[in-house]
Amino acid sequence: MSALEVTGLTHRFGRATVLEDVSFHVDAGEIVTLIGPNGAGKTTLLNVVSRALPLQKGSVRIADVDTSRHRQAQVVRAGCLLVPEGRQVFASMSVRDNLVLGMYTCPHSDQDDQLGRVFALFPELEPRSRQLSGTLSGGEQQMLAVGRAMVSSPRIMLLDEPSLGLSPQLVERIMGALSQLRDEGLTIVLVEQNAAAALRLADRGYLISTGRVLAEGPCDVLAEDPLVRRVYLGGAPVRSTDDLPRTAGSVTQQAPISVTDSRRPT
Amino acid sequence: MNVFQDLATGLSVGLVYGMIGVGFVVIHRITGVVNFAQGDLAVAGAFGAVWAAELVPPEVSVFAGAAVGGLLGAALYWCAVHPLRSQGLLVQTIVTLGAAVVIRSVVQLLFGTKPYAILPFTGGDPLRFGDVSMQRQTVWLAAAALVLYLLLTWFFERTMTGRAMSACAVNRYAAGVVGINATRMAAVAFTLSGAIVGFVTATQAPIAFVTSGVGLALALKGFIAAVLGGFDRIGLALAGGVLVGFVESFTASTISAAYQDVIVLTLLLVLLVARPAGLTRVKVSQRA
Ligand SMILES: Nc1ncnc2c1ncn2[C@@H]1O[C@H](COP(=O)(O)OP(=O)(O)OP(=O)(O)O)[C@@H](O)[C@H]1O
Ligand SMILES: [Mg+2]
Repeated sequence: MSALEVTGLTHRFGRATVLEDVSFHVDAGEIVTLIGPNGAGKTTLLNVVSRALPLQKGSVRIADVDTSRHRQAQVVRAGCLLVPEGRQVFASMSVRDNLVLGMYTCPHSDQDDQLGRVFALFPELEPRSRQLSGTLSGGEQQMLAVGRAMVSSPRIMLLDEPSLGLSPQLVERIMGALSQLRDEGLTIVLVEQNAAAALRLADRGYLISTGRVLAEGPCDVLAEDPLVRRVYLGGAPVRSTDDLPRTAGSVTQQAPISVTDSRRPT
Repeated sequence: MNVFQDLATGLSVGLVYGMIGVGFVVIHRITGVVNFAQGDLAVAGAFGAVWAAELVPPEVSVFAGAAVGGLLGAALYWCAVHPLRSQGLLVQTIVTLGAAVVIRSVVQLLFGTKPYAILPFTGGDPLRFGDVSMQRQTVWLAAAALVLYLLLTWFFERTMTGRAMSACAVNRYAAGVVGINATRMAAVAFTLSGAIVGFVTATQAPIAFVTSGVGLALALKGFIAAVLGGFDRIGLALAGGVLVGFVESFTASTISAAYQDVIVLTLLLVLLVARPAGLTRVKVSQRA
């Protein structure tokens, strides 16, 4: 079953087309990473999927339900939670209040139960539950941002650069936590600049540059792909795949989405 | 001249200014809009109570004041402010000035320009403390203001809806991310503010006459109260309003009532220049 299916998504800011005909899908229990250079449109993509930005063109299905006409709050209720770029915690509120606000859409859930789950995954947050979240370290804020999304028991979590500004050890911590959440049944979309860490964790990946999907495939193959290497190592963003040597291997280059078989069992 | 008498006189009008200031703060924190129709919502609410007082006892009629204020607040949001949401905060603020004129005109149409009063909750002579006298209704008003203040604090800190409104004030983007509908919270803020100012102004109506034309003056003084609260803290806005009330009654007793408004507005100018953060200790942060 598709947990998330995005088809033909196009987004413009004024006259600038930032996303053009972007399609991708995520199966239940999968971790899929979207990688790409600065300005590729990754944040815009997650904002449109979560409806922090309006959906201009294209369709978004969550758990086989068309959400194209949903508002942001309805997408949250449908179980699709964004962990935004730059953490976006409620800075002048305590850690606990942040987590309680995460349960806004499910007021009948057992608060202590849900807080317990967060503190089990991120023990460093527990002694700080009365601290103002704006005074947390960057790593702790990221943990809080993930925790705030966890407490509503979502099916899908969209994470926008959770590793930004964190030390390698902390990146491993966060990635480990994501892996654990996946084992508990969560489906994850992970947007990352840190392609190495993301490709290690994820099952499949999509390469996005200047608003288009340039390649997709299982992570081990994608990691070896010359296009990925060029986008990350080369200076100018790659506009099309035509000027690149064709690669062998099973990376599908901007083509109808292919189902790959490299997923771990779910 | 008796300072204590001035304090007693200034308290009743000051509490109304303060609560109008609270209304400004509640709406501004959650939506970013400065609602200049606040004073006319208050007056309309008071007239709602005047109308209801024909049928029910005065202490019940003030709830009609809250209902009228709240309904008008909601109508103001849905009919004028919300349709302009894509136009920016300045346009939304200006439309509240226009709405104020509309509300005032309708009240004038219904009640004319002559002053109205309703009976105090409890009859009897004014209370006397030495040579200071205080209307019994002022005690009711102060009690109502205190209870409202405590209820509001409880609402914003303890209830999920109240916390969600605070969350919109702190970080509107993040509020959307956790599934809070900012539009609905804005509507609640307008309704709540209208109800509060309607209730308080109706409760003061037995002390001072209400006339249909005083809305703008009330809004200006409530605005000063809100500035004193840094446009952020409801407790300080309430205190700021009481302070404005004191300044007015001092001016009236030492100089002349005719100079009240000049002095108070000069105070506003000085305040805006000297202490843009009002009584708060932190600097007002720029809102995106
Ligand atoms: N509100 C906006 N108005 C106009 N242009 C915008 C807006 N938001 C984003 N853009 C533009 O859209 C493009 C994509 O931005 P986006 O933030 O989605 O990129 P990104 O892939 O997340 O980049 P990064 O990896 O640096 O976070 C950029 O060129 C950016 O300047
Ligand atoms: Mg980004």
